[in-house]
Amino acid sequence: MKKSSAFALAHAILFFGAIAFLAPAPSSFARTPQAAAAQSKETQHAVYGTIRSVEGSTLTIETRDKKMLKVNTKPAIESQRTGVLIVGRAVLIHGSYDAKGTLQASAIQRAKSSPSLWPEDK
Amino acid sequence: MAYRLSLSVALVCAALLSGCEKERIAVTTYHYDNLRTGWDRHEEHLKPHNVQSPKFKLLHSVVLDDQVDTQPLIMPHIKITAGSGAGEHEVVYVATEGNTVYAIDAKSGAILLSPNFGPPVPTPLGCSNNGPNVGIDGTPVIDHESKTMYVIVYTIEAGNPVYRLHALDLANLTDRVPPVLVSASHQLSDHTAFNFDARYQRQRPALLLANGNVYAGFGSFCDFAANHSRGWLLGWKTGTLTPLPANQLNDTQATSPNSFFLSSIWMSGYGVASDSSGNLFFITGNSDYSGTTYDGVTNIQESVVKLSADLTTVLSLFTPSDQASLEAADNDYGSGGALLLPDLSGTTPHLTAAAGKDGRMFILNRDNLGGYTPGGPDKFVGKVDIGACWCGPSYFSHDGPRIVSSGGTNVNLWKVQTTPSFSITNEGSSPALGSGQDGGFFTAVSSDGDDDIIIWAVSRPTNNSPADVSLYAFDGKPSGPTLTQLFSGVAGTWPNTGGNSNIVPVVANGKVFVATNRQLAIFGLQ
Repeated sequence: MKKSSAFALAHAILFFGAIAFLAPAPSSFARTPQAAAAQSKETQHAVYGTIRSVEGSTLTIETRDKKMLKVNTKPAIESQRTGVLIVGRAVLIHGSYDAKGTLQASAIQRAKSSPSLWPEDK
Repeated sequence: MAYRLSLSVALVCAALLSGCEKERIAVTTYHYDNLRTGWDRHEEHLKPHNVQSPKFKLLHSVVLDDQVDTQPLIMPHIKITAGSGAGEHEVVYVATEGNTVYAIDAKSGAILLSPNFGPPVPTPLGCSNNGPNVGIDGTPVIDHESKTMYVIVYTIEAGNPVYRLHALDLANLTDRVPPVLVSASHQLSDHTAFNFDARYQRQRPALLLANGNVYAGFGSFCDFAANHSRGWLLGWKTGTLTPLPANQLNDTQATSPNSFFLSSIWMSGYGVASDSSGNLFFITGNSDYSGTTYDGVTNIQESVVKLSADLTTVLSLFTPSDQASLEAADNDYGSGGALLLPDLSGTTPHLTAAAGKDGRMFILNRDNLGGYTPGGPDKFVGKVDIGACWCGPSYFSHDGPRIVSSGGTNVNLWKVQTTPSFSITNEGSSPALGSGQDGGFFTAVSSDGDDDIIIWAVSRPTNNSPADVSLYAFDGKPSGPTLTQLFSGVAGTWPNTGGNSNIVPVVANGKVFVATNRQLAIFGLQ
């Protein structure tokens, strides 16, 4: 395994471990053990991009390779894992893709505006 | 103009048998003093001509255990009593995100002591606006008289993140008294109690030692858990670490439209400041993005705040009239720190300079900060644009007061006049310092009295690979519109680019100290 891959994996483990460890799920987000197990099997991603539109709970971000990606912000907002979402702002989105290819965001945070500083997407 | 040295910058003239050694300064707090001037005016070794020469170079590179978000502190003539390096040293103290406090010989770079104070918290709340660990995030402070360092450690105990305030003996870096668990409670506007919860609070601003107390500000991690996280300013008595009876909670509202509270104190690591009367000054960040929750009493977001030493009373504040739009756009005023200018002549002798993300640097009257004027015009003494500021100003005096701003990608030198009326004029700008991170960076100033003024700065990284940060030096006496660059050199790396590097260069006794990721660089003359 490449060193950078090992770092990325460790970072991902730390991130999702921290979320699971530190953040008690709000009651409205309570999940059954079965659902939790299913969730844990989903592949978690970290994607950088620039917000191009905000419509309700749907963001469209432009990724570093100039593709437009739909993001559902609702899970992140409900779990209080997001800052203010402004068109033109660079963000880092953690989450998993649903069957339609929409990124279901578990957390959204401000990213540096320069893509040259964005670490690799995961 | 009288410029009184704060107690936090003590001059040590060693009365040796052979005579009086050159003055050696101690740097006991962030930006040198409680005004946060960033000015060492007793630098007898580093001068523009020799900093510009090949003699000025990297002397030592000391490997550390984690990212450093704190400013190094310097103490000459410390008798280390433990470890293999026992004996007298000029010591540079560096605290890391790995919760290690290093005592390092400033001349040789040898590590004298390196106790660890517990496991840091990995990526709190999933926020990666920091390194992979958060441990000691705020610059500690040293009580020169008692030779005690006060430092707040973020660690995990019984499975939960906690903050503990330590009082460490500088001679051996052991606790003088048992460290105290950081806790607090404040009544909200509906008379319910709101309790400090370490899971949601980031202790980022540098600590302040004033009025016989240690003060620490708190904000959030990435604005996450904004329903739980609020801006606190807490205080403890030195010596005993007994919490002060009162505390400051910047948002005491029970509800908000988006359950988004915050009003954090973070200032990109800049320190809460204190004037000669012991009043406290800081800037607050954003709150509910509806832009509807400001009232200046139960919520004082986006404001410069003057607070009483006992934390009971907001004495004055300044809130820009466009605070609602700052809220809506997450354009924190509180991304920058508030510099207190030493006392000046004229009708407004007590000034402060404070800028935030939108780049406006307001010059305010500390005796009456200006309040909030809905619809404007804002009541300020002066205003200039310095560029987006995740930063904090420095100060020096040379034929009158000067402010050094570091917003955007440029150092800017501002001449301040207070008589017969106030004016602020630009005297020079540096070439652009590269940065791919948020706007701004941090500076310090060295001089030998009024002579040999050098402005030091550390840039932010421009790329991921290599994520270098560089030390710059500029002549503080402009000979034209551009500040003459005396030196630039790589000072370390900052690979965790998700979080800004907020690196403050520290100049003391002929050396320049730059703490970065897992490294302390010591520059000087060879």
